[in-house]
Order: sequence, then C-alpha cells, then structure tokens
Amino acid sequence: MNNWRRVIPVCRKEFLHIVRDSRSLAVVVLAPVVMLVLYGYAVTFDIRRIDLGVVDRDNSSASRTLIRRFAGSGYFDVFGGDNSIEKNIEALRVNRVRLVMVIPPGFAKGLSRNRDARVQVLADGSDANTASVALGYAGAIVAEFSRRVSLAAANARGFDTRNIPRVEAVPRIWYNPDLASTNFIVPGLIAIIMMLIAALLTSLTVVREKERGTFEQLIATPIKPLELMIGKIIPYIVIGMADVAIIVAVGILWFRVPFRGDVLTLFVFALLFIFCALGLGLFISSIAQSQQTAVIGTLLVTMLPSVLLSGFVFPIDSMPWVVRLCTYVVPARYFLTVLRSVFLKAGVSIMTLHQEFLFLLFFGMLFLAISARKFKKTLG
Amino acid sequence: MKTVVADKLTKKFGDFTAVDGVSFAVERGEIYGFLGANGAGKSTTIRMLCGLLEPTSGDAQLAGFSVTLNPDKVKKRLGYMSQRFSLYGSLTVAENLTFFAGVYGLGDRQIEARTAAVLQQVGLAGERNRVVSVLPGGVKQRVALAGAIIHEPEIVFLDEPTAGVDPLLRRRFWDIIDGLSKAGTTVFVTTHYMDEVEHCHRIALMDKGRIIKEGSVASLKSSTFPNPLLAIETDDIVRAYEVVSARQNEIGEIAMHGATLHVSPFIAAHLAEQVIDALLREHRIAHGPASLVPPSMEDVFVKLVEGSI
Repeated sequence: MNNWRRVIPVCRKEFLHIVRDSRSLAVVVLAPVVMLVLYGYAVTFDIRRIDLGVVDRDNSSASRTLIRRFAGSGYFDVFGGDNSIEKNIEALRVNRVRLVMVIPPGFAKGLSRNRDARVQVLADGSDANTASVALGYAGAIVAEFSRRVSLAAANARGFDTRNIPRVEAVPRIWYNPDLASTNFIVPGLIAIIMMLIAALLTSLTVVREKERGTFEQLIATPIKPLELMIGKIIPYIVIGMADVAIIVAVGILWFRVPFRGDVLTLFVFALLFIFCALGLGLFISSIAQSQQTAVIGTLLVTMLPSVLLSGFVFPIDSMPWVVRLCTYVVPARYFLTVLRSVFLKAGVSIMTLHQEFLFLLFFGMLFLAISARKFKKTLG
Repeated sequence: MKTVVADKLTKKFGDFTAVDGVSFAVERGEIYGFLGANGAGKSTTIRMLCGLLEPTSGDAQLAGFSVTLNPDKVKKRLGYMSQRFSLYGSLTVAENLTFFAGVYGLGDRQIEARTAAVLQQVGLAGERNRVVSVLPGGVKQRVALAGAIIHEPEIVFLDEPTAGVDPLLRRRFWDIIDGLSKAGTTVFVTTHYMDEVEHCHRIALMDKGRIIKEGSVASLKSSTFPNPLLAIETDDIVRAYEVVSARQNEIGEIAMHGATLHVSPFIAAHLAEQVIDALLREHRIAHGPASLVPPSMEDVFVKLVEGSI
C-alpha cells in the first residue's frame, strides 16, 4: 500500500537541498545556455567556401571562364597558389585545399572542334561528407558550363536554340527555405543538452544519500521506494522545465530559429521528456555505488547515444535495422523529432506526434519503475 | 509483555558469520544494552531487528510483528538512530524533524506538536532553526535522537549513540533515555563504554557474533565474581603484576586496574592477602593495605570475553 502523503515531505526536502546549494543551482541553470551557444555555433552542416586548387594547363579563354564560374558560385574559394600539379596535390595532402580541378591542355581546342572535353576533379575523401558535397557542387557547375558550350555550338551550326526543350526541377523548400542548418541543429542540441542535464540532476540524489549515511536512516522508515522516487523526481521536474524554457528562449532569441508550432504541445512533450531523462538519472543513481560512478555512467548513457542514435547527425532511416532498433530506446530521438516539428512547422499537435508521445510516456514510467525496483530497501 | 523477541537470528556475509544464532526477549519499557567490542555483531543484530538487513536465518518479533514477514508494520513502530551521522546537513533542525515526521506519515498539525515536544525532550528547543551541519557533535547526536523518536515509536534502537560525545553530555543523553523508558518505550542500545552499561536494566554481552552472557548488571557481577575482589594499590603496578601473576596458580586471577591490582582469589581472602603482601615485601614493592571492592563491569567484561580477569 502506497501512502502518497509521504511523497510530500520527500519533495520538500529535495527542494530545500536544491535551494540551499545555490552554486549547483547556478550551474544547472547556466550550463545548458553555455552549451547551446557554444555548440550551436560549432555544429553546422552548411558547406560553403570550399578551398579549390586549380591546375589550368590549357590557359585559354574557355578554361578561364570555367574557373570564373567556380569562383563566382560562392561555394568555392580558388586557391591562388601554383599552377603545377605537384604543388596542388601537396596542398590537398596538407588540407590546404579540399578539391583540385585539372584542366588538360587542348581543352578549348577540343571544344572548338566539337569533341568532348574532360576536366579532372580530385577530391579529399578523408572527409567524405565535405568531399561528396563539394563534388556535387562541382558537377553542377560543370554541367551548367557544358550546357552553355553545347548551346553555343548548336548556335554556331545555325540551329535556332531558343526553342530547345529542357526539363528543370523547380524546388520549393518548405519549413526551412534557406536550408539553414541552425534551424534544425539548435532544436536537436536542445534535446541532447536537456537529456544530459536532466539525467545528471537526479543521478546523484540516491547515491549521495548512500555516501552520506542518510540512506540507512531512510530505509529504517516505512517509506516505499516508489514514494521516495516520485518525491525525489518532482522538484527536478520544475528545475528541468525551467531549463527547457530558458534554452528554448535562447534558441529563438539568440539563434533566431523560427518558432511556428504550439507552445502547449512543446510544454507537454518537454514535461514527458524531462520525466523520462530524470527517471533514467534516478535509475543510474539507484544502482551506482559512488557519486563518481553515477556521473560517469550518466555521461556514457546519455551523451553518445543522444548524439549518434537520435537522428541528430545521421538519419535513422539510413541505419542498418539492428541499429535502427537501438534508436528506439534513446529518448532524445523522440524529443528531437518533436522539437524540429514544433519549431519549424505550424499545426503539429500531440495527435500528429502520438507515437513520440507514447514512447516517451512508456520509457518515463519504465525508468521510474525499475529505479524503484533496483532501490533495495535493505543494506548490503 | 515482551516487545522484542529474537529467535536464532543469524547473519552471514560470505564465509563470515557476523551474528550467530542470537536469541533474547525484551520487556516493554526495558533498557536493553548490547555490550561488546567492535565487530562483536552488535550493529548487525540491531540492523536485522530494524529491517535494514535481511537475516540469513532466524527471525524476530517486534511489537508482535515478524521483521521478515511484516517489515512495514515493524518499521512504523520503531525508531532507529544509526551509528553514522544520518541527518541532512543542509537542513535546519526543525526541517530534518519535519522531514522524518512526514516520512512516518504524521499529519501537519501532529508534526508541529511532535517537533516542539521532542525538541523539549532532548533539550534543544532553542536550536530549532539552526542548520544541522554547523552544530557541535553532541547536539547533532541529540537531534538524531529527536528524529528517531519523532513518531513516538514503541521501540527505539540506538547504535552507539554516545560515541565521541564528552562525558557530561553523555550523562544528559542517558537522562533522556531513562525518561523514554519510564514513559514505556523499549530502548535498545549498543555501547562500548562500560560505565554507561550501569544505566541498562539488562545487558547482553556479545562476542564473535554470540551472546555470551545476559542479565542485569548486578546479576552479571555476582554470577561472574561470587566474592568481592581484593584491591591493592602499589607504586609500581607493572612489576607488582609480574610478581603476583607468576604465582597466580596459588592465589587466583590477577588484573591491573589503573594503579591498583585486582585479585579474584581461589583461596580465602585473608590468606591471599598475606601471600601477596609477603611477595611484594620480598621484591621491595611499596604497596598499601588490601581492601575488598565490588567488581566493576570492566572486570566482568574482561573475565567473560578474555576468559580471565
């Protein structure tokens, strides 16, 4: 038989601990803001101003036009170094440039004789992501150049090039028209930072009592593990929600991420997510033998999975099915989806995000239940 | 009425048997002391009685409920003050008491009344709003006691409650315990201060996980030493002890008690006195006249635990 009245003194006591320890409280409030500002600038997927080395062995009007197209695109900074292939390859090796374009001798002459011409593009594959993006840009620039060359050649042969049909994709990017990565990085970071902070908040609460000896006093009383866990979690829900409010405000006001969704939806999901993360922290605290173990355990369990398996960096759909299955137990995954939706899309609600709602609720309850179970009411 | 009945309580930690088949029964309102060296099994026994440790075998009934079958009913009826300091340092005296009262399920009005009452009882009414971490050790101990009795338990377990507290404050502490007992609370207390044992109605002497002797202070003394001891004061207790104990087969058991030789003679006291007097004269050790003294608890403890005084 649980006696819910006993939850209240536990809440009150935990709350007093928090208030009396003003230094930790300041850390808890400021850390998320500092982390968001720092990482918000560090993490960007926008690839621009790629350093490009050019070996122009043709040195013709056509080759210089092509180089100008690269320089003028905004995606490339042409490396004004040597024109020799050796120097450019050395530059690629020491990361001075990411891409080297080699225009062979006879490039212009070939084109004027209506023969296909080729330019070589060397990419630094050690950073595969940048390389593939850079190659994409380079391909598009060369294709556009090629189209103009073809048209000019057709013109020269007397074709009327005004009515040559072509197919063009007309992209309209919704929700984030500039594809600004800040707009989806910041919501993602909020999920990751809050996962870490919230789990850390509770990770010490039980193990601290074990270390200080108050645990022994506590288990001599008739309080039930579940009552204790709930009593311990409630004050931290308040703190966690305050943290979410602050960090979301920083995202909107500082990083200018648009907020188009509904505040109530965000509130409900933040509550669920914080509950879930606090429950995880509590579970770690119930099984840890020392405060150090609890902190290290929390870092391990929250940080890497939240960054790598939440869909923050790597799309979950591209993962092998086994790994994809693992992502289901990463609470940040659900909150990340929710945050990206409520920030950028209008009209999302708990109904449209019901899967995330149910999973967060389930894991929150599960963590709480297993912490209460693991919290043995006996010593030794 | 028996409030605590232990039946062959046993606790093993791996190969080590900390408590080995301990049985006893305690009356309501009795002060029952566990006396023994560190590691004798006193704390482990108390922890099993409070439901903090599960017995490997055996059971105990507290206020009519089995501690293994009904730990929750038992916990409501007992108060526990652990050997380690176990209050929340960042909370005030009153906040600590309010917390424990709440955890024991007391209502707000009751909490207010009980907090005032126990603070009065332990003589700390003026300290209620002080933060616990800055209080001196003796005061902390009394706050811990107040926490253990806030819910008016039938049985209170005090594990080394006076360890490290100065003698004057220990006296006060024992006055509080006497008061509890007079009000009908059963008090279990462990200690290794021999002088404190005199406050207990009954004591159990523990050694290596067993109760080796149990009874009132007077009965333990008289059953261990049927006759009074001979006490002889000397200027050189170490040499006197050497000289006399070399002949102990003829005289009786010898022990050093400060600067005094304690002898429990096999032979008639006046004969033993003559033999010792002669021995000390022979070795030119200055000494006073022999007198008869009642045995102290320390004599009893040493005799029972170490096999001789």
